[in-house]
Amino acid sequence: MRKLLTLAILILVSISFVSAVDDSSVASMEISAYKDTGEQQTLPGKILKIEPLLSEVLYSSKYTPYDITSSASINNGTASLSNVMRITMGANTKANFSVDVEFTPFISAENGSKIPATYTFTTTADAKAAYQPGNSDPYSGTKSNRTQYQYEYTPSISITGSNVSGSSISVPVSGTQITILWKVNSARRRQRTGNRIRWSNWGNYSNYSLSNISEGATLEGVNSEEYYPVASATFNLSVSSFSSMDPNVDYIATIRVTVSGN
Amino acid sequence: MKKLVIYFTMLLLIAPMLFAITLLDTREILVNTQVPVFGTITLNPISQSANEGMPFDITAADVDWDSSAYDSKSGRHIANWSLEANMLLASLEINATPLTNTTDYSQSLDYFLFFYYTYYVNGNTSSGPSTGVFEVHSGNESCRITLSDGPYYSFNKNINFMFDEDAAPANMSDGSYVATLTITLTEGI
Repeated sequence: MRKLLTLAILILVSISFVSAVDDSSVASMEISAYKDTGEQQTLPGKILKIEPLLSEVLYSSKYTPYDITSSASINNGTASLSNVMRITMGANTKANFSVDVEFTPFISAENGSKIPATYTFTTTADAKAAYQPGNSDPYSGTKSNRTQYQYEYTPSISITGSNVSGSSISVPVSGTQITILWKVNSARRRQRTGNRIRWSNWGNYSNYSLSNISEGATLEGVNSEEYYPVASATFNLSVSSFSSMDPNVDYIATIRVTVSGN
Repeated sequence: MKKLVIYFTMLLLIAPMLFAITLLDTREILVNTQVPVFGTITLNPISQSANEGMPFDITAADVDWDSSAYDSKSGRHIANWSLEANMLLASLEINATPLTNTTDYSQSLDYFLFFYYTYYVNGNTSSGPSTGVFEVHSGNESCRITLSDGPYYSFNKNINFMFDEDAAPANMSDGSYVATLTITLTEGI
């Protein structure tokens, strides 16, 4: 009998260790510097910002894990979360860029049991203008020999992975990993030359080389307002499979982001 | 045969009680051992301005080696970092490659990074958080920082940059210089 009890305890302890989340997180950034180039310096080539927006909720709630059941609207077993995370790519970043994202299933804070989930992402991507380097503030006096370009590009995001179907991601109890691919679909350009203080009309999209966008982008202040040639995307999350969850129990799901751009 | 029937009957009566005891143990063990774990590291580079951010001039005074500035862990504020983790024991694997000329890889400089963070003494949140700082030196091998008093919630604290005492930025060629900073958070030490 003692052997039987010992065996049962060993099995249960083993299961407990297996079901604990072996968590890890990776963050990376580029440090950029220069010496006497005499030119407008570009931002770091891979500058990236990954903001787990929900972490602010974690912080403000004094160490209480984000309560998905109270903060999200639950209707018929589906919960929606806004502004889950925002990923920003910066100036001089190559036009195409990928980010690996790993999802865990929902894990019960009470007993560690895992519940498979279906995430549905909606993403918003926005672009801001990039400026050709080498020109000073165009509003400070007259300069006859200069041409300044302004670029605007439209990024899009596609998600790929073995558990991806459209914008839905099925997360089994073992977790899953997807790849988010940023792609600059098209770009357009306008310019001003010499003493002109007005920009010309925008050219058509797709009328300018994307490689020039990524290589020529720089940070420049115009009218005291800084324009960052960045594209950012905010992820909103909709989660189903709530029907098997206990509304009185906290659940934790983790999204890990690994930057692996080129 | 009669004895065998008696033994078998006793076993049938006792078996459900044993099963109940096992279930009781099961519940107790699950409650005591299940700890969901999460952790996140965030790096936010700062764009260039007069007194902080990147890219910076490697010959500027605020990044040059200075023993008193080293003691106070000042240097140039180039980024912020955040750490959120509910694990008790954690490790940070930090790798900062040397700052290298983008066209001449033979020209590189080593430096310190000062990581500021907040923490509560012995987990006591009744008083405000204390501020700590640890340093990392650039190189080809990672530096391992162990943390043993979780949970950890340190938000948007400074990463400051300073060249080490062997660096001679004035002797470097003109051009752009880059380095990569990578931080990996893992559970356990």
